[in-house]
Amino acid sequence: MPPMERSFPIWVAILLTSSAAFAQESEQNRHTDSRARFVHRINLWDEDGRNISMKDTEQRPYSPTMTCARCHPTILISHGWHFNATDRSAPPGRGGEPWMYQDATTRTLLPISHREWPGTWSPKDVGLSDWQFVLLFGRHHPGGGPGLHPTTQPVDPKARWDFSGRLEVDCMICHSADNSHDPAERARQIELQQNFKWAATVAMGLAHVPGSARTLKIEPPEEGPNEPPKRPTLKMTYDKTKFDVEDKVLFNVARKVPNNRCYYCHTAIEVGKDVPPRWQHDGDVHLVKGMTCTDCHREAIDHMTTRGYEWEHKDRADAGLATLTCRGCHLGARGSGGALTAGMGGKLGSPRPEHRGLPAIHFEKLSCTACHSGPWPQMQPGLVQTSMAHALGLEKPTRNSETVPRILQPIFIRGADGKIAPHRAVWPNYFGRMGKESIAVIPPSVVKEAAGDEVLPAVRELTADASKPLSDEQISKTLAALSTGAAATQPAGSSGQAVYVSGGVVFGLDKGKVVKISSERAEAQPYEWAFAHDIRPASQSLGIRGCTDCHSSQGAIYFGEVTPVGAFAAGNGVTRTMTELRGESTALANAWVGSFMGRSLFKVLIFICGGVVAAVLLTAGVRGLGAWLVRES
Amino acid sequence: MFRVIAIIAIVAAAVRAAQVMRGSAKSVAASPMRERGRRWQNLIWLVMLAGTLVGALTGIGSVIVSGSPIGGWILILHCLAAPLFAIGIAAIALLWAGAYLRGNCAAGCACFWLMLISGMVTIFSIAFTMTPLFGTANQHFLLSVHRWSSLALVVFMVLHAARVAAVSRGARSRAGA
Repeated sequence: MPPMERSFPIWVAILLTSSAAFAQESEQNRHTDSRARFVHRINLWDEDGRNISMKDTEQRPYSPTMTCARCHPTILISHGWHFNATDRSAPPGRGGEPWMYQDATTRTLLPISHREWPGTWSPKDVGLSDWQFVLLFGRHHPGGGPGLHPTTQPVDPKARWDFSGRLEVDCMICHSADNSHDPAERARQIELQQNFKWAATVAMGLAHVPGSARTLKIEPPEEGPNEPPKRPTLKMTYDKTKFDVEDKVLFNVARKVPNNRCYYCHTAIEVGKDVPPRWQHDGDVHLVKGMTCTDCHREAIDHMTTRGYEWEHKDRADAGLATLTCRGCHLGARGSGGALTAGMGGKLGSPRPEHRGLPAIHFEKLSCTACHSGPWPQMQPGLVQTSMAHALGLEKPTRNSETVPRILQPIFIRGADGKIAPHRAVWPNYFGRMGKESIAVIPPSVVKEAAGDEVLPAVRELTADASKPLSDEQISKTLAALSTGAAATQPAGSSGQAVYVSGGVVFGLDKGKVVKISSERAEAQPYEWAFAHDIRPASQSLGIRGCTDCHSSQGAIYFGEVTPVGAFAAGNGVTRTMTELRGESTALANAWVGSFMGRSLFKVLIFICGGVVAAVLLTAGVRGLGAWLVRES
Repeated sequence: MFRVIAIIAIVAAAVRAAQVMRGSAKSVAASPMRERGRRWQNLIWLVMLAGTLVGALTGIGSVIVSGSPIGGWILILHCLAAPLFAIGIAAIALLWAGAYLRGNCAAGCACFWLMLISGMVTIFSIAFTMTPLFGTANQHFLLSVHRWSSLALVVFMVLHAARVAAVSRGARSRAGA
């Protein structure tokens, strides 16, 4: 092989790996270097890089990527944390909130993530194409990733990218300073109309798009069969009052994203009978005191948002991030580089916690959030609903406190750093095929086809019916159907007994009856992710009433009981205490509780003993001093 | 740092204690024990030694072995041993201080008083962490003081115990002769 040919694959590899870097380097980031907000009175550009003018006869939607790229490195930004889940080279970081893939008819519920966090399923594992992903989750996805660079696997014949266009990163979903961007309207454009390309324009209120890309179809050419088929597009009408004579539009852009924009995707609310009404909630103490989300969750132009967990500076090899954690901000992060003040703590005027009377070992065993975050822990964890899981922020009349997925919080388990931290947990629910080593998810479409409408009548998501568990009969009939006929051979490449996973338990069919197979299988265990907000003030933190906030039989951090929540009427998995969930000894936890019963007596005894020794030493010292003085005189 | 110093100190103390134990009975001073209630004094002394031994093994020992702060059952055991040590050292201080103040005890005297001083610091340094008086930084400081003072306590107690044991053995051999 000639030398050039031999080296060709190497050159291709080099070009491929460095293309992103070249692209980013060639991008510009124009800046004024002032702390004052730059007024963005700008021209709009479409996806092909053509200037949008009110004089155009055919109006086209503006492209956030092409418009913002006039001044900012949008390719670099599209690799930021909010958009890079599908980027295989992006480090996954600490496990976070997953997307909840649901199929109400089969009661399938799977935490999914492109980042392959342990405990989640990859969308591809459950047969979810990028097209379906965007339709399901685009409502709360800022764009980019699967919406911008959809992959062809798994093959989805229903995908209509040619009509919908791509779902670009919508900068204004975060950076809108005045709420001129309507994320709910954007969601409607995506999930109902499939108007991906138009969503950003409509959300900004710049134009009216009456049609829907879901109804578009290729029309035969008017000129004759030899002409290429005509690909129709949607008609749209710009609001000309938003454009000046030079076709410029005022974009009220906030460099520092307002809390309100974050909350659209990152709201979490407690739900349930015993939960006080929302107006009685105080909110996060930091925000109440006037801080913003981005005071801590900062980012550079690369949009690698700081997540704020304690070991993030190691994950991202950036020592400076250590100052943007609870500990780093309040107590300081020595050796973090950067400003000298970074090691001093008290960042942003944060009070230096005293933790009077709290033995230092607690800081080795607990994260800050264990005592300060989430609702005050009860013996039974409560339910929480989130924007991503329950489509909060969108008007859904059928959503109530029972709406699935049922996510429990706070669950006190250990994080990757070994410290106990509050987590949220969701139990997967699905029909699968159990092999020797794993349980493969059977896609809901296969389950529905096998069981038929009579066994599994169609149910819509976010409705009351979706919250009802499947009956014993429904499950047994479905498992029987999955065990015979064409369905028995699916999904491709997997074999084994058809099972139903719900509430931490794997159920199977034995002589026509649904029986419990195992409650220990990893594929049935909950996915848990740490959370930090809302943060309670110091005066409402665990331990404020004394050691027995935790070290007592009513200490939820040890003895709170977690019952898996599934969708099977026959029952859920085994109820476990937090101690058991952590794999710790209940006897040890009880021993601690017992030790605190006599703690006051113990303290008195220790002080008396110390006092006796001190008194003896004092007496000896006085006598020794007296004897020395006598000798000297 | 602590691990290295702790290993060196304990080994050195053990070597010195062995030398004292092997030495002649004449080279050590008179027993600090009172004539009355020797059995009780022996019992209290042994209780203190046992408490200290368990405390040292669970505290200093686990730091040497794992390098991390103690927790779990080891911490429970450490806490259970604490009262034995505290009551023991308080009682020994009351019972034997007079003898050391009066007696001609040479190095044994220094060991005894240094044992009491380090014992007192060990007790108070941990007792104060259980009060709402000290914040995080001071808690860490107190824990550090507890760690170092307990190391000193172990060293002086080993040396003192060797002397007391040697004296007792000498007394028994003299009584036998």
